[in-house]
Amino acid sequence: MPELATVLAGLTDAFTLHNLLFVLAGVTIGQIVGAIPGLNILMALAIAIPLTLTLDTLTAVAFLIGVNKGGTVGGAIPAILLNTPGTPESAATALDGHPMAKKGRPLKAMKYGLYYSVFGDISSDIVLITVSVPLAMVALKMGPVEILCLMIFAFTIITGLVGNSMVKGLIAATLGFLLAAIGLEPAQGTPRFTFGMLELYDGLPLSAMAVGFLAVSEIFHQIARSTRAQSGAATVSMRSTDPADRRVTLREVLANKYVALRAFLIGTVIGAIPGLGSATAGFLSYSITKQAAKDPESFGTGDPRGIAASESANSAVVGANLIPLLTLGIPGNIAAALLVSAFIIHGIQPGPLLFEQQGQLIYGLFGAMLMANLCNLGVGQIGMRLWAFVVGAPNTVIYPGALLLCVTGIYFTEGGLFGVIVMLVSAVFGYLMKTFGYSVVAFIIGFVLMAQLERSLLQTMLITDSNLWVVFQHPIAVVLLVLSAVSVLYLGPKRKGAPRAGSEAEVE
Amino acid sequence: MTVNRLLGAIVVAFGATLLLWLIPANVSAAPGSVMDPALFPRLAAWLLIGLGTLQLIVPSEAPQVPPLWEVLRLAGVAALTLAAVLLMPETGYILTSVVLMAALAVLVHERRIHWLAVIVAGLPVAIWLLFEIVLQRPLP
Repeated sequence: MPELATVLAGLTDAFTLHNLLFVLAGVTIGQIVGAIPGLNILMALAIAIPLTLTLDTLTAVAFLIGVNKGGTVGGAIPAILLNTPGTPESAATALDGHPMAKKGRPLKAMKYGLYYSVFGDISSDIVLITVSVPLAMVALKMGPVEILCLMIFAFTIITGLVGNSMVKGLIAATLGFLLAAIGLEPAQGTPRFTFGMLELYDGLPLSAMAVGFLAVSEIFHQIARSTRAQSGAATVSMRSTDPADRRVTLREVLANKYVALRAFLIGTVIGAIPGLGSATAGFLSYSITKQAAKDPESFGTGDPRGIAASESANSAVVGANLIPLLTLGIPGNIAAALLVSAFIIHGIQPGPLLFEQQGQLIYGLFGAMLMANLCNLGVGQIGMRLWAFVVGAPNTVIYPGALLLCVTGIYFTEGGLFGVIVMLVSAVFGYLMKTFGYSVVAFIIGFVLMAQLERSLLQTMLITDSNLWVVFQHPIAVVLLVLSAVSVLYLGPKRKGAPRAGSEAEVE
Repeated sequence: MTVNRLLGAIVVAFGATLLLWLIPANVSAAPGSVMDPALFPRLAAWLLIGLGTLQLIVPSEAPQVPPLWEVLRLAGVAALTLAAVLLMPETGYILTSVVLMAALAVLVHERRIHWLAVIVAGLPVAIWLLFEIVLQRPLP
């Protein structure tokens, strides 16, 4: 247990006006970058790290934490307002956020997103602050065998997101699964489906694919279907006269408390396990929530439970990602890896001795994280009104502008035109898939999960000498396999009997 | 043949092409590999054949095919954007973006001068300023 004096000294270091202003600046930058389609948190962090070189350690780290947290909240804004998720992790938020915005309640949808996001973030921070060390030990027990079984479980869970047609949804997931095979295979690094193109050796870029399939396909569709009569209309109506459409009461937030709580737990567990990401957490939580609901048909039509499930989970990943990072020195994802580089630049060596050697600084960091959550709430409240004002511009301005931002953002993120071309090709395929009823979300999940599945299968085969029966000697793996079997048995027949109108939200 | 059956046939044909040509020609295993690099692609190919066959034989609700003009306009928007992206390194970011935005403004029937100024001139210049000047990141 840390000494109380160390904790208090750390928190005192954090709660200064100087640090508050830097956290505020970080959150604001993060929210703006996150809200611009095509730009993402990684880019914001990459830009922000050099800006911290002249700052003292705690201020620098607090600023970067602010950027990281702000980016997660900002990503939900274009997903809700334009159905164009700027980042893969906010894609699940669009499934119910955008339908709610289209019903004339964009502010309400953004407020739901903000509140549940901040809830997920604060809760996972509290877990990080209080039980990070024991949780990291549990996370360490998740070796390749367990992660393999977790991936199998995740694949069975996504059957809840395959849309109205199970067969088409599974075809879409298989196509995603297949495209993820492009690039160097993990065992020996031999090229697969690269057709002699060096750019394909790293595989298809996820950001470009996700923005293309989810955002640019929608922009193309909206531009293509625009007629002279519709020209000049706002993308979403902001003119609801009912005050209830613009605010979210405490009662409404608490109505989904169990959904948000479950989503936070899913996000924390996924975040604590190195290698898994916010997109997996958001989709997994959304899918589980939809399947657990008595009225799954209401999902995809603007149900606040959908927003709560996605936002609480993907934001919980942000805090939980720091659990393996701070306690074991293992970055949970690319954003955490960028944070490690910043920590090392500022003389912090993440790892088991960190709490012992730099306890005051770490508790200062925790204080900054809590400040960042409050700043997220404040900046988000102001920012959402600004974004709502921007989106109040005619669709003839919004969609071309969003397209140009996506092109520029992906050019910048991927470091060249190849990523932009992948994005444009993905957009056309995304449009065709939506048109013919193939779930784009299932495709993206298949794409995201396949790489991790293949890597963990390979690692499992290596450590078990290709004897996969060894899996049954791992209790956590067995539990996950049983859950997978239950998921298939429970979800399969249930779906057959009840085709769900509107369950494929992205098909309009 | 309904649209769904046709799509099912295309999926089956794609799965078969993967198995017979694309995988053998583009995936090769190095000697001593623990896991065949073609394992997952082959699994995907067989799944596509199986699921495509199901779609081919089991009747399902036909998707609503969009009107031809919408498909043609979408192809036009995609081709226009791709051409702009490919031309960007030669013609520069601002000029290409201005032309692209002007073309898109015509496509979306925007005729109001103040909004045209925002789309055609304001946005490209603002984004260029953001990346080149504020963020110090080079654009083509």
